[in-house]
Amino acid sequence: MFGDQANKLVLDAHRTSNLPEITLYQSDLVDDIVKETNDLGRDVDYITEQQRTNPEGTSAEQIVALECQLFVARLSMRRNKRCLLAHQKLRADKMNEFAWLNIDPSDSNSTPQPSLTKTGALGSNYTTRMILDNLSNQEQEYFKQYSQLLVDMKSKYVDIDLSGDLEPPTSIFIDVRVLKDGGEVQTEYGVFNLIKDSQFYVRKSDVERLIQQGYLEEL
Amino acid sequence: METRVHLPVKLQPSNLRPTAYRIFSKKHGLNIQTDALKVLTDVVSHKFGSEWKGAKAQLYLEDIAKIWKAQDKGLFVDGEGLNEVLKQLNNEEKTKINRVIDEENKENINEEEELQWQEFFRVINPPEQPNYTFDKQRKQFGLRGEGKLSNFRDTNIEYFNNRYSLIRDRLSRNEVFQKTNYQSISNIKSKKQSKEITLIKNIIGNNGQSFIIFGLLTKNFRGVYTIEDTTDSIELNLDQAQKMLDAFYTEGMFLTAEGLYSQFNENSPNGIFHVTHLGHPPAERRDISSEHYGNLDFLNINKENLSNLHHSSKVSKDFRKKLVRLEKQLTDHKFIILGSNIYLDDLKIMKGLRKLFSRLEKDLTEEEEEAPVSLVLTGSFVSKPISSIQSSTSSISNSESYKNNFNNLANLIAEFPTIKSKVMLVLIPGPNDPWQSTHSLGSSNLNYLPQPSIPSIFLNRLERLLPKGHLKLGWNPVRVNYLSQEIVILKDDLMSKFKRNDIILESDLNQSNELLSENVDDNIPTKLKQARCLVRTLLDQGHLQPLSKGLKLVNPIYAHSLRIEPLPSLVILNDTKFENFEVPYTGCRVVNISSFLSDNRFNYLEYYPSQKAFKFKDLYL
Repeated sequence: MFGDQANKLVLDAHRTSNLPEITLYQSDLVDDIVKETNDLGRDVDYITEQQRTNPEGTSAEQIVALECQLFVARLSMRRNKRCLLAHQKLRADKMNEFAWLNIDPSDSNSTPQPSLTKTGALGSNYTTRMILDNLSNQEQEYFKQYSQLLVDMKSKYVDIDLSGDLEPPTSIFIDVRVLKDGGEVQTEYGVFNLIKDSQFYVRKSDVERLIQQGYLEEL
Repeated sequence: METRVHLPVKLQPSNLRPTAYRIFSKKHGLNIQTDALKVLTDVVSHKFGSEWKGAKAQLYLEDIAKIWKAQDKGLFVDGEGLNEVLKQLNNEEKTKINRVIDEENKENINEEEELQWQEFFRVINPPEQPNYTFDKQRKQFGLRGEGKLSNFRDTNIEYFNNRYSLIRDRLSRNEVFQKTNYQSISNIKSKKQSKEITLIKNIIGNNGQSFIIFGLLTKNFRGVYTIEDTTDSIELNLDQAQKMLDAFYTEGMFLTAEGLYSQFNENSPNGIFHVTHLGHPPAERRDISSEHYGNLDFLNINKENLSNLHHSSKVSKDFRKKLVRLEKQLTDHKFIILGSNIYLDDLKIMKGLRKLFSRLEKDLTEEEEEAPVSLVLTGSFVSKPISSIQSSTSSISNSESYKNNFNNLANLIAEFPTIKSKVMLVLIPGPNDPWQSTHSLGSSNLNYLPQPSIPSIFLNRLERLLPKGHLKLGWNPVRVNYLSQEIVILKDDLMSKFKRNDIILESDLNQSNELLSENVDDNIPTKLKQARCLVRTLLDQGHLQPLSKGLKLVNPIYAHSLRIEPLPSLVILNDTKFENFEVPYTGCRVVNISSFLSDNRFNYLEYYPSQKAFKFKDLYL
């Protein structure tokens, strides 16, 4: 039936809305829906053409049938469009969420990053992981430009860390353990050396970024 | 412009740390390493002096961070990478200053002058070409790491799989092969034949129904032709088959077959497919495919990525338009492509080269403008294949005489000062050239593609003679990126290979008999027909060697360099066993240039990239 494909897409979108990552872009399904819509468009053209060419030859009953057909085709087209838009909106929203985290998206080949268990105020269905390869070309472009917008906006407020954690810290200094080697790293007021499995007692605001990027783990 | 000179001050890294931290880490999410901070401190203290805390210095740091992010250099800013970025920034500033000076001299400088054509004119050998492979899950191209021995196994296995999924994806975009929707009235009314492609596993069991299948044509162990796709393979009965289009059909190609399925076959449980029509998957225009694949930068033409082969990048539409516009302005640029088999040990050929060079020299000196010209010479550069065996008649070893040949060429070029100083020389090896010739002895079957360039030890003299960077050693095949155009040059005798391995069906024989009996006078000459066949075959298959492994050896590590999808703008074949032709097909031009010396004529080709025009030229002996 018309709209079956679109329904599939929306159901899929609904399923992924609670995942902490963005799933693979379903180019096949989207292409199919676009094709179905094109077919419907051609149907509409055909029916209107029929009505125009012989307005007298059709009985009142036939006219009603044709009009119903026209109506259904048009409704299905609109529905397809809405489904596509809803699907895209969900993905765009997830990308925006991820862009605020200020983490680099990972490649498909690399090992999955340790998922952030302590998302705190971010909630459980917050997008915390994104694989760039899962996005379509246009989405990649969108993500790049959205991140650029974010950086531009942040640079207006130099003294405020807009993408920082919303939860007030319980203490200024925390204990952290290093998960990955990273060499010597500069922070606002000091230097510390990222060697795997070593532990530090540091200012929380200094290492927030490193925790998000998966180099450190809060103890 | 405000030019205030700041005296450098001595800064400690710890002074700059808070500012740098705020800009790099807080804003851009990067981490600065100790040596990088040192480099930054040096630069900032030198550049901004006492104003190191000012807004300008902050903007400068911001620029660095932005470039770092744009080039995707990683989370940690290290000293080495930072130096590279700084070098780039400096260069850009210099050109900006130069431009300002230029603008003062003459006002009417276009914006396009920013692009230097030299930066977008590159000879790209297979190892320098980014290894984009098709990802069938994503239906997009992805970057693959460099060729290692461990990759060799995988790439070998995936060689045909990748070709299959890429062509399959192209077909899925083609209107003709799409699923027909039976609910749609327009489809029923127009009675369009459904050309949906069915997977082989799905046709098995549907006795007596007609299908279209698509897959790799091979022969199985019984010597029966089969078509194989990712799901299964099936034997073909070609008795009643017809070729849909004028093209070559050989083993190792991906073809569509239309016909009836029958499950009665005593040899195979899969049944047999009675083919009525064999066809090629239609090619797609360059702009459509590249649009679909996100305008990926397949040749790495973006200059900032030159050093970084592992980072995929895109060519934006605006940028491409700019390149095209620039290309149109440079009307005096030309390529001169000589016919192949320039045997440097043949005195006749040397005489011809001398004649050609003197004509070129005259042209160049007569023209007022400095016309940049590239000269493409294609091998083999020796009439007998170079081998390790010492020749019995002389005491000079083969490689020594080979080197002498190139020295002679260098001496010849030295006689023409304009050519020497202005012309860019591209050398492409042929089957007789080292080192493949030592084991293949010039036979095209043992010669695998891509063939590495001629070793530079033979070309010392030439290299010294020409200005730096003017001698390019190309592989076979080689790609040339000229602004928006992608030019592929291949040296291989493709026509005879295709003709020899073409499958001859019964219907072909009948047809040719009819033609003979009726004595039909076709308007199109047979040679042109054959040329069209060849071009269609190559471009439809999207590959320079669409043959099975038994027919041509291919190094699978560089399989991506043999792929011609998205179609290049121009393909130059050097088929010495066929005559010159120029055939356009779906927006891609394919040109053949025969051997340099044929029938006492020297045969060469001029190409004007601004008009995309060719001129076949010749010189008489």
